[in-house]
Formats: sequence, structure tokens, C-alpha cells
Amino acid sequence: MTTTQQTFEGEILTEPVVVEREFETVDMNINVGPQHPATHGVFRMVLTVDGEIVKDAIPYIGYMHRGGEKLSENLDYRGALGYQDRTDYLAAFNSEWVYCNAVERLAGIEIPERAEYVRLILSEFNRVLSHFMFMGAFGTDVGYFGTAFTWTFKERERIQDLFEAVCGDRIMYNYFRVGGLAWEPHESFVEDSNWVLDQVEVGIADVDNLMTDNEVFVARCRDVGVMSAEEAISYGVTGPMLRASGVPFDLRVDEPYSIYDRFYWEIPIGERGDVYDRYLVRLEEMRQSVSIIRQALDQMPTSGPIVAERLPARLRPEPGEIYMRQENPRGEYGIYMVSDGTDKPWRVKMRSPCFHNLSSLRPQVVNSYLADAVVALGSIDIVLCEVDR
Amino acid sequence: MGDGVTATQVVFWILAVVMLVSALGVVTAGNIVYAALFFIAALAGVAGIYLILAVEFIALVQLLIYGSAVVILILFALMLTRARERPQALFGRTRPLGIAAAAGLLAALIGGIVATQWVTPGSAADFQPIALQQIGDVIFTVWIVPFIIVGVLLSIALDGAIMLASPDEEE
Amino acid sequence: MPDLVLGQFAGVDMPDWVDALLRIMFIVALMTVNAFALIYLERKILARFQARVGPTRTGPIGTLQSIADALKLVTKEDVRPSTADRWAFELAPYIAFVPVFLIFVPMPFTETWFIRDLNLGLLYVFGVLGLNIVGVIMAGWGSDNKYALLGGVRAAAQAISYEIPMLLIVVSVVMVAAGRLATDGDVSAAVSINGIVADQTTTPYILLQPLGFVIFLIGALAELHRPPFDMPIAESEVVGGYFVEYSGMRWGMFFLAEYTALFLIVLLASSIFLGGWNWPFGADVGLGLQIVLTLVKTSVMIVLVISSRALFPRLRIDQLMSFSWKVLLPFAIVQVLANGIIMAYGGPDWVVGLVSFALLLALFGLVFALTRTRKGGDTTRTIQTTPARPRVITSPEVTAVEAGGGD
Repeated sequence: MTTTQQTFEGEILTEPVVVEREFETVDMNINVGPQHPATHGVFRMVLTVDGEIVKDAIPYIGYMHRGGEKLSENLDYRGALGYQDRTDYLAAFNSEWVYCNAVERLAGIEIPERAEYVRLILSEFNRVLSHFMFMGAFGTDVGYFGTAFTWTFKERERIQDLFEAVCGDRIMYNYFRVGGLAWEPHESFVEDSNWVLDQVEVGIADVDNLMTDNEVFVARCRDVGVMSAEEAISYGVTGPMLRASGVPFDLRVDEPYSIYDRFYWEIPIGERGDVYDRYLVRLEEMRQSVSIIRQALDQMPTSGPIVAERLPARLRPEPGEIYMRQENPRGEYGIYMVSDGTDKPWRVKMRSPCFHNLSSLRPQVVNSYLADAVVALGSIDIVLCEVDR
Repeated sequence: MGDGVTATQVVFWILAVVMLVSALGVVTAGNIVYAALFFIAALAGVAGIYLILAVEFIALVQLLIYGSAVVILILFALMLTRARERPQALFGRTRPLGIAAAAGLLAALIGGIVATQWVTPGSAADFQPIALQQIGDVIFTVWIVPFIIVGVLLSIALDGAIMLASPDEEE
Repeated sequence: MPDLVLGQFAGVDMPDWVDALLRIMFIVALMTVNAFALIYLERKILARFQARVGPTRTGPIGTLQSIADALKLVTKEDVRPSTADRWAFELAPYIAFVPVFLIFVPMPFTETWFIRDLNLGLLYVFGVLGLNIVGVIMAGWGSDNKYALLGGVRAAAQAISYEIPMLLIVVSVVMVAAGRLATDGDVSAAVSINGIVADQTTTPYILLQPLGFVIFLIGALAELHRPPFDMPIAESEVVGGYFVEYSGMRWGMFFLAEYTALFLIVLLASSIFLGGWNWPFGADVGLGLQIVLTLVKTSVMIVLVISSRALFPRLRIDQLMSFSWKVLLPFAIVQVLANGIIMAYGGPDWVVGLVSFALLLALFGLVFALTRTRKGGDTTRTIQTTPARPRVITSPEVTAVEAGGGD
């Protein structure tokens, strides 16, 4: 039975519905979201289901569009920093960092080493926090009745406590500044970080024990939402999803920024590109991040400036453009920025990883089960604020 | 409860009314899901009658197989198909045939009722419920051949259903 | 077998209808208290699993929480969607609830405490419980909500599929009971729940039918919509399933039915497999200890069932179905056949138990193999790590302004 249906290539198939057989099962359109427990925010997709099989999935985004790019163009270079917290609110440090780096490179500002270390440590902590959040939400999608959620949130709280001690806020940090940091991290930053790391390692092991080898969990995740490396690349998928498909692409290594060249760590890569691999990649990434943070804490200079010297009161970069991209927890987060020599950027474009990752949803869920669609959506780890910007 | 009306009779009449109403509901309900629900009520009534006749085993099997499983499968089919969306015509071109078949069935039943020599049970004390063991013995010794034939028939029906329902390999 | 006559306690003769009324009131009271207790227990246990403390504010350590919930439900507005099918929608909670209520009848709490000792008690439980699904499917269809419809259909499919292995296991239990009773008792008690409990003075049937116990437990989880088989009410997929449109007390009825069914099915399992009031102390220890024994066994199993909710995600509907039809059903059939063959040749009880145990190991092995190896025999973890390219540390990397990098 065919109704009006748009294929992925954009052609519209319209065939008259000729159903004379009464006992043909009827396709149902199910509206999932914008308020649905599985959509992680205000995402909406219309699933056409035949019984339990998803025949088509049309995603709708834009409910959270706030025009962050345009707003940034109407503020000076420093003022727009706050919007970065609000795009990817689960990895605000990482997003702030990309923006700061972009402005700094555009304006030719060098930042002190100590500030670089603090930024890196906080961003890697934020990656761990974000992945914990993923584990919890994904566990709920797969069907844990809150256990995964509370266990991961316990660890997330600890990291947030650390962030609060550093910058006074738990989600919208607004701590990085163009040229360095807003203020010194608190005195016991290194000790606190080490303590949190110890707790986090236990937490990672807990999640691992709870989920990784659980037969039901494996049965639900294996061979679901499979995406080949070619497909992933052609959709512009980045981050853990891309690596789960077997592409060892990590901007921290492939286009090194900051001081990532000083640490030794490993990039986890999946083999099959299914949901389970995405989970495993993220799990391993958390361990690697912990390792990076430990090395950084050891190397970090104990004293020194945290803000670049002789910063102009008003930034007026030379006319030019820059595309700064970094590895966010969800993938490649990029800021494209054009300066026309005034104190406001002429153009700011945010390249958000979730937008591209989410675009690969449809081929993953078509002809799978309804429950698989939920799991596949969960494995993308979307943050709708970032998709819609 | 004077003048000879026993509790059993009261229950019987209640059940009879329920069954009649539901049976009428099955054929007159415009909504086919309602018809299926009425059908469950009618079958449950039959189970009640079996209970009155002190054949608990058959009553429970009636509930278990017909009351839930079979009718639920019917409901299942109705809900997921287009059948529920269109009003069902009560009388079609086959109306005379239907009337003839129903009349024939009615005649046969009335004939059967009239022709039977009914045994009036003396009292409840004379009533011996049939033990489960006896049913088992009879099914697996006297009626073993029909039992096997029915089993094979049902298996074939099941295989056929699976063949019909399995999705085409290509696509 | 002596029947419970309530009049005994008051020391008066009472007419049958008063007796019946008292029994009904007893069930209703028990059911309500049971639901309150179970909801509180579930919330507390789940909280402990989830690094929380659960309800603490209402009453001492939160014990009045369920009562507060019930009050909230009763006072809540009863909403019926305007497009819902009126009769199906409003009748569904009762039809889902009454059958569960009815299976209280043959449940033995002690040797003499039950509503009625039915001869065909085991069959009765399943026959009546099956009607519960009619209510669920009416709710799913009548709500005029696609999530509800999907939930109702899932519930029906699940209930039908899991009833069959459960019934076959009950058959195998009845076979064992009949075989044992044929030597030292009345065979006709083999289908009565109390008769089966009474036979377990020395040997609980879990030793004779370990496979049966496991399959029964799995089937019970499915019947009760408990994880990993909670697709009919899966929140992340169908937003709550068949009762998504219900509010207030109608929703409460579904809830009550669910918790009553949890208690009763677990009580049934502990009766026919764990020896109920009988094992290990026998029939002579008095009512007090017997009822404690019953409740302890039931509670332990309830905690098991609840913890499954904390520790398992949910299976997919096709996995659930194929698990029932392709794994549990064959094993149940083999169990019945094995019992028949062994008993036909007069094998002793321990052979029955041993064969069942071997079958159980085979079931575990099969499930292990099915989940650990898929398509090509890979193990679960296929993650590799490639080392990030180590670099020589020189100085903080400072890049000049670059125009238009990236893609």
C-alpha cells in the first residue's frame, strides 16, 4: 500500500491508494514528539508503522531554533560567548572552547599555557559528563527503569560539583574568555579533580558492569541502526558515531589543536557501526578522557598567568575568516567566523555535529522495529539546542 | 426462595439472557470490534452454562481457548487492518442464503431438543462431577484417532497461516 | 481437606451468604493492603538499586506514600478523550481488573486458609487470568490513541504467547504431582493448588522441575509486563501503552490489577514450586508459621521480580515472541515428553529432577550462545583502539590565522 511518500532522494511518489482487500494491515502514522519520552528534547519524528515495523520516518527539527548565529553577529566578539553555552548545553565547555579558539586565532592572541591546561582538563571532564549523560538517557531508551540514569547522574553530579567550584555554575559555565579564563580555578582544583577522577573511574566501571555484558542489552543493541563507514562519511557524521563505523577520525589527532599532542591516549573504533559499537566507543572514550585528564593534571604548571597579556579592550581582528573545528563529545563542532575589521563578527556559522548525525537517522530506522527506532535515535545522542541552534 | 426456584435456575436464566443479548449483539453490532467483544461475552456465557452442568474442565477450557485466545486473535486482526474503518453492511446479497442457513440450523436444533429424551437429575447430590482423569482416559484411549486427526489438521492450518503471513523474501 | 469457615473464629454459625460476603470483603481488604505494600516496597527497592532513598516524607520512612498516591488518584478528574469509544474505554478497567480479583479464590495461604479449594485450581487460574487481556485490548482500542493501540496489541500478543509455555509447564507439574499422588494419595488433587502444596512436605517441586520453575518465572514476568518483557507499557516507545489515556481511579484500577496479579502469580509460583506453606516444616507447625512461610517465600520472589525491573532493559517485541515460541515452547514440550516417558517407565523422582535440571542447563547454554554469538560467531566486544599518534613535545602550538580550513 502506498500513500504519498517522499523518498530520500527527494522525488515524491504519489500513487493512488487502492486498497480493496480488507485484511491488509493498515499503516499507521505515529507522531513521536515533540513531547515524547524518547526524543530527548523537542525533536519530532513522524513514523509510519506497519504493525511494529517502521516503514518511514520523517524527522522535524527547529523547535529550539533561537537564531544563535545571527545573535552572535550582533554582539561583539566577547559578548557572543554566552550563546555557546546554550547550544550544546551538555558540553558547554567544549563549545566555549571552540569559540574562544576561533576568536583567538582570528585575532592572533596567544594564551598562556596554564589556561590551556585548565581549558583542556575542563573540556575533557565535560566530555566525560556528556557521555555519562548519554549512558543514562540511552539506558532509559533501551529500557532500564531509571537504574542507568541514576547511576550515571551520580557521577555527573560529582563532575558538576567540580565545575561549580571552578566557575560557579553547573550548566551554563561561561568561564572561558577570549584570551584565557575568567578567573583562577579554586585552590584545590587539582586535588578535587583527582578525587572526582577516582569516583568517575568507579562510575565507568559500574556502567560497564550494568550494561555492557547484559544479554538483553546486547540483544537490543547489536545490529541495530547499522551504518557503514561510507554511509557515515557521506552523511557528514562525526564523533563517536563515525568512529563506531570504523573510521579512526578524531580531530584531536587529525587536526590537532591546543596541547593534545602532549598526551598519550587511544582512539576507540567500532567494527560494525551499530548502536552497540556506538555505546562501546563512548564507554572507551570516557576511559581515555580520564587518562588524558590525569596526564594533564600531572603536567599542568602550578602557577602562572591565566589570561593573555595586553588584550585590547575591544577586539577588532584584521579582516579575514577562520573555520575552527574541534572534537566535541558529539563530534565535530565548528565555528566559521568572518571578520570585516569591526568589533562585531560579520558572519558566525556554527557547524553542529548533532545536526549532521541526526540526518543519518532515517536510513537507520526504516524497515526496523519501532523499538529499534527509539534505540537508534538514542544512540545518536542528540542535543536539540545544538541541532537547532 | 420459595416455589421451587433454585439458585442454579436463577444463574441459568441470567446466563441465558446474557448469552442471548450478546449473541444478538454479535450479529447486529455495526462496529466489528464490538461484535468481537460481544462474542467473548457469549462464549463466556457458554462457559457459565458448562459450569452449571458441573463440567468444570470444559468450562475452563472454553474460557481459556475461546474466551481469551481465539477471540483476542480475531480482535488483533481487526485492529490492525482496515476492516474496522468501514461500516459493515448488515445484509448483503447473500441474505436469502443466510436466512436459509439460519433457518435450517434452527430447525435442526429444535428437532434435536424435541427428540432428545431428557434425563431429569434427581438432586444435586446425585450429581457426580466428571473427574479430569476420566476425560484424559477417554481422550487418549477411545477417541485417540479423532484426537490425532484434529491435531494434524490444526498443525496444517497453523503451517498454512505461517506461510500466508511470512513476508516475501525479496523486497 | 478442611475448608476455611470464618465462623469458626467468631464461634458462631453463620449463613452461607454472610460467609461469602465476609470472604469477598477479606479479598478486597487484602488486595488493597497488598497493593499499597507492594507499591511502597517496589519504590523503596528500586530506589536502593538506583542509588536513591525513595519516598521518605509521607509518614515514617515514607510508609504512607502509597496511601497518599491513592488519595491523589481518587480525587483526580476522570478524563475520557472525546474521540474515545465510550463503552470500551469505560468498561476496560473493570474487565482487566475482575479476572485478577477472581484468581484469589484457589490460592492457599495455609493448609486451611483459602477461599475455596478448587479441584481444577491451576486450570482455573489460567482460564480466568486470560480474560484480563480482553480488558487490556479494549483499553488499547477504545482509547483511540495509537500508542495505546500498539500497547494493547503488544500486551495481547505477549500474553497469548507466554501463556502456552506456562500452561505446558503447569501440565508437567501436574504430571509430577499425579505421579507422586498415585502412590500415596488422591490423584484428583494433582490439579488443585492446595493438593500440590500438600504433596511438597519433603520435596519442593523446584527440585523436581527446575526447568519448569525458570520457564514459569519468565512467563510470569511476561504476563505481568515486568522488565525485560514490559513492551506493552514501554515508556520510551509507546509512552505507557494501553493505559496512556486513563487518569484518576480508572488508571488506578489497572495499577491495582497489575500489583494484585504480581502478588497472586508469584504466590502461585511459590505454591507449586517452592512448597507454599508446607515445605520445609510440614503440615503440623500450625497456621501462624505456615502463613509466615508462605509470605516469606512470596516476598523473596517478589523482590526478585522487582529487582528484574532495576537490572534489565527491555527486549524487543520480535525477540520476545521468538524467545517464547522458538525457545521456551520447545523446552516446555520436551519437559512434558520427558516427564511422560520417565514416569511411564516408572522412573523415580530424582531422575525426573535430574532430566529437568539437564534441560535447564541446556536452556541456559542456548540462551548464552544466542546472545553471545551472532552472525559469524563474534563475541560481544568488538571495540579496537588505535593509539593516537604520539608527537614530540616542542612548544605550545600557535597557529597563524588560517582562512577557510575544514571541509
